Amino acid sequence: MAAAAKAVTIGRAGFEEIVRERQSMVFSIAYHFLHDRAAAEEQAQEVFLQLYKSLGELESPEHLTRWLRRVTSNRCIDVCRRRKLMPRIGLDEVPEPSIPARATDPLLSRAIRRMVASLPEKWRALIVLKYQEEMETEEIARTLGMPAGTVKSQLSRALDFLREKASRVLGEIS
Amino acid sequence: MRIAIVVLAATLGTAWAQDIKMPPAFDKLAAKAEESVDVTLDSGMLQLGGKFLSDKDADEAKAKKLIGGLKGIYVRSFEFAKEGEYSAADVDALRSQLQPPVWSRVVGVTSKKGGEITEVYFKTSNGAQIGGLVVIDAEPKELTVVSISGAISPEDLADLGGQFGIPKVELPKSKGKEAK
Amino acid sequence: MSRLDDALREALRREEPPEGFAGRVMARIEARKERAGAWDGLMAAWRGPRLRWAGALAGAVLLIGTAAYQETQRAEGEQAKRQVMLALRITGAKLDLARARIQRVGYGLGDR
Repeated sequence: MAAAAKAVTIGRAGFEEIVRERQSMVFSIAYHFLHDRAAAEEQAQEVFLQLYKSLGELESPEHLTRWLRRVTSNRCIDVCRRRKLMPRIGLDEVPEPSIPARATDPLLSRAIRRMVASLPEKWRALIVLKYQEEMETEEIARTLGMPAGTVKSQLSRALDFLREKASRVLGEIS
Repeated sequence: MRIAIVVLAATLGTAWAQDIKMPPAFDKLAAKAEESVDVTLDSGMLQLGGKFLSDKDADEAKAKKLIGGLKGIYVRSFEFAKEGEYSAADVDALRSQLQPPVWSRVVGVTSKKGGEITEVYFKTSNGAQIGGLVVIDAEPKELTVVSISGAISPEDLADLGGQFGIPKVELPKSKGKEAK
Repeated sequence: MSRLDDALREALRREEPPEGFAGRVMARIEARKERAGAWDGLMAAWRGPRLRWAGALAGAVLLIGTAAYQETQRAEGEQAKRQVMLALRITGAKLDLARARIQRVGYGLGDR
């Protein structure tokens, strides 16, 4: 079915419903990537505009979810590369907590997000998809178009990097 | 001796192959002349001109037939306001190219009284046709040279005079018979 | 499960976008549809008469070019024809003159 025809079939209300159902997923991937709510919203909107045009290619709700994750990740990777956002937030900017961190600590979460946002793009994508979307290695590999082994090894290196930095800044966290 | 033969053969071969070249001095004569004609028609231009010659017009039809075997037609004609504008050397420069055995002078009329020279040269050919034609007409106030390169049949040549709007002068069939 | 895993899950929880996100997406889609409609209209207008005009223009240019080429060829051919006739007239005249002078001096071309 052609995209326009499918969009007509779904209708304006139907598409808006799709947006509402998936907006937090798309927005959050973009936000955890970019660490900037305005930039994240802009990219999330672009993803849904792209979805509107590509609706005819999607076969199922699961396909739709995979498509949104893949397109959002790739778009954010491209944006990061273009804007050279990676060095914008350094670990030096992460504030030193005055008390030992707890896992549910909002300060810790903010610090973790900043650390994630400072990772190289591919590592960031792996971490976001694994911990935000709770995806398995195979699924991440399919989404990012990488070999599963590469995903596994790169994810391990990204976590080691984060662990080292987190322990240095936040104290022991393992 | 052998070398001389080879050189002679090479010279003759070259002369045979070459068209007559109009002497460079002719270009200066054009500047002096009151009127001048310069027709340069190579084979390409002859072919092109031939396409535009009508078969319905008698003169054009004959011209079309005549130029069919030609490689080129070159005409230089100068009409001067006064005598002595061209020299004998200018004509000699052309005449020197018209040497036997390649060329044969078939007509040579010189009038010392009137100072007129008319010469017609044929280029010898292996076949029944003439391989080329040069006409020199030198008068006190006029010099005309026509060079036709390529095969011309004697019939076409006989027809050439008196054609193309010029009244034909009947040639006498025998010596001593004068035309009116 | 490590503390880092927990911290990452906590930190990277899904968040809702700013209020009115879906509405803004739909508004942009509507705006694009309108622009696309206007663009399609513009393109349709362009494609129709403009293409016809372009075709007509190309045809005219071809005709004019062909006519100009033919005219140039015709002019060159006519010029060549005039030169052929002029050259043959001069040749004929000079041959006639030679004949006349031969006659005057008392022998004919055919006797040479």
